Amino acid sequence: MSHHDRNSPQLPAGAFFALLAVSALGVDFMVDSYDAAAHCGPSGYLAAGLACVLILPMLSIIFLLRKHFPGANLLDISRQVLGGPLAVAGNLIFLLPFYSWFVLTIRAIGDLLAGYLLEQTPIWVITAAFLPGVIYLAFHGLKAVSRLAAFILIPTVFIRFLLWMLALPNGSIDHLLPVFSNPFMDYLKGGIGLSNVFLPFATIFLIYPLLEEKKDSAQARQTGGLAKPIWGAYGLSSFFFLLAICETIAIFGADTTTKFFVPTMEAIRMINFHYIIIEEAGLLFLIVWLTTYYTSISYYLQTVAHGIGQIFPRIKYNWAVIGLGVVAWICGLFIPNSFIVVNWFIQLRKWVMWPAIIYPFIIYLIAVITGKRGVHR
Amino acid sequence: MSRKYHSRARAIFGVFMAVLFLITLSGCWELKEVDQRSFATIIGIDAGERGEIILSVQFPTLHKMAPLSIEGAAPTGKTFYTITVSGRTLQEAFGMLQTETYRWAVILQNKAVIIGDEAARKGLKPLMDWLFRYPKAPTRSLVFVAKGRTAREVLEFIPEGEIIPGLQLEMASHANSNSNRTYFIPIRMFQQKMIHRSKDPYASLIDIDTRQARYRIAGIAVFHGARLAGELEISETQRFGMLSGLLQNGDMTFDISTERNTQAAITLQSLKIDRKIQVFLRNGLPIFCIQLQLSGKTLELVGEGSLRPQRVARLEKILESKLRPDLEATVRKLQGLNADVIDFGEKLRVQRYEYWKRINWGEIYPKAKFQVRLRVKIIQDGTMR
Repeated sequence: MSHHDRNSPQLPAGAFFALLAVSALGVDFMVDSYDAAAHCGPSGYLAAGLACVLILPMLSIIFLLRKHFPGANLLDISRQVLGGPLAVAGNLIFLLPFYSWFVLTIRAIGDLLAGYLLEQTPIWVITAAFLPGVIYLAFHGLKAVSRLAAFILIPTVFIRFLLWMLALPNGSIDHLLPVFSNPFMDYLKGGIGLSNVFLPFATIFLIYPLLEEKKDSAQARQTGGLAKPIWGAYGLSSFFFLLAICETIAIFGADTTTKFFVPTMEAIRMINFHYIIIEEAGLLFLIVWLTTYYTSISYYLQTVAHGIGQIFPRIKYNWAVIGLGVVAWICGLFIPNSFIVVNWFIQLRKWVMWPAIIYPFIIYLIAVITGKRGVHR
Repeated sequence: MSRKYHSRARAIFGVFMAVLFLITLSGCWELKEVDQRSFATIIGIDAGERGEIILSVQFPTLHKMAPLSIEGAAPTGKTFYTITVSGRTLQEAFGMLQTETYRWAVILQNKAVIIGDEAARKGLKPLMDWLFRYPKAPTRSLVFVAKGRTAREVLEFIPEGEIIPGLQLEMASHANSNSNRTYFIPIRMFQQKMIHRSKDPYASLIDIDTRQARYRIAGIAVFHGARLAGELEISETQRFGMLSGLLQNGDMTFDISTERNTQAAITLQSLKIDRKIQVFLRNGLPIFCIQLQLSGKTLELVGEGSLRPQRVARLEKILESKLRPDLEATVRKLQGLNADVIDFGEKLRVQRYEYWKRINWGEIYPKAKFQVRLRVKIIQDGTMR
């Protein structure tokens, strides 16, 4: 099977949904509650709610672009709309957030695992052990990644929900009050900052032509069957996003939440299993989260490598996957300490959504103004 | 040719991956067999005379805990041992401890952290940082303060009939009989109360009864920030439970004596509290209106006749009149100690946020006014009328 076949499979709606949902659940890096509490204090969940709303324009651009250019993804469309060099620059800027996220979190996962699980093991060994699996999965293309996502979705969602329910009694409603503790601008800034959890949804711009088209209803024909998987994944990830933020702030309060590197995990660690072999619910959560992270980061690598292959057709996909993976590993290891990783990651989360929203919007706007349209497959 | 090349490349890649995973997934790097580890059950922290930290850690002796030895006789001797070391910081002391045992000391499963009285009075911030920061610290370990003693004394004490004292302390937190005589708090919650401006931490107070060779729960220790501010004895702790809303299922004996009947007392069980706190502002100071509704079932009635409806109503009134001043006294005591363990500051923050942002709660709390309104409901009379 060629890399083109591997990366351009016809994805059923279920696989499409699983891919988006697992990606959104995996790449959050368990730090949303930190962002929410740091931006808006006890009512940080309002900023999170606002982030769920602020992302809707991006999702609507997906539907509009798909309607205009049903058979082409954003990288193809930009070539048609902007033309050569400008499209290359724009497309690279669009892919940059995914790769930056990949580089920083590959390093951060080393710090996280070294802290909680493998304190004797050097970070380069942890990341080196982790990365071949990610490269292997991305190497086998979108089909392999979507299959793994579909395979792990139900157990991971179930266990995560169960753990959150078990952590619930440790919370106090007072920690979430007062509801309006900050000026509206703080919530707006917080909402924009927190919208980064929906970054995986920006990959839809690249994969929507791969969705198996359903012709069973007029609505499905109009949206290309995109509506159900997108709204389903959006609903599921928003639910877990809000649940994690509300519960973490309810358990620790805003002040303590901002003291932790991964507050979400610390909130789960408050679960008390007595005399059961798995005493540490936090580690169970970490392992479950790790499977979703592993899948989603493989998806990011696949997305960037495939995108690079599309922008520069001379670069072979397989070499792009290996090259990008190894470069990310080396770049990650060059970062001298975890404080820098944490700070850079905070900065990245602030701006990461801008290219993902603005670039497709500009492309769509220019396409509408210039009257360019794609052709139906 | 190309297909052959690809299949060979795939085979080489497969072998490489298999070897890599064989090396890494076995966990050799971190491998520590169980018999090479010592699992701490209690950690004791004391302040030394020269400013150093004295760390005592209790470990179970696993082979002494087996019901029968190979020869068929029950093993004898202590089932646990305690190592005491000192260092400039807690982590340095823990590092020193590793030099005194050939096993790998593991604290993740630790059940209790006991802080010596003097160390708690000096302030816990420098003492607890390692336990707060270390990812493998036992975040759910219960925090205790040794009443008027060092933690080392408590750890070196051998309670009668207990195989592992650390487990006894943890089991005490699940015992209904303790449900309103002390309140247990895990490390992470203790840390949370220490960090928040609007609250102060508390910890269960532990003492040793040398004559009966037992641990004794002695109420709670209350803190102002990170410093031990004072203690609440058991009856005050029971009232603290009512005021803080922590009381869930306790029993308590109340004095209901009057001028005519000087020996009367009633014990209520399954005590439950409904609490509502409203905050008002007057002359720049907060007034806390605490409304409590206490309900319970009669377990014992001494010096009173049978419980008819009118008499129950009268008893409830007597209880209210007797208990309210005690509750107010407990609030006053905590105010005097400047220890907001009931989280009044949290109520102020929630209800008067704009005011809260302007004030220093530590300065305002001792001056704040409190009104306690209490309603008692006796809901059952046991097996006798």
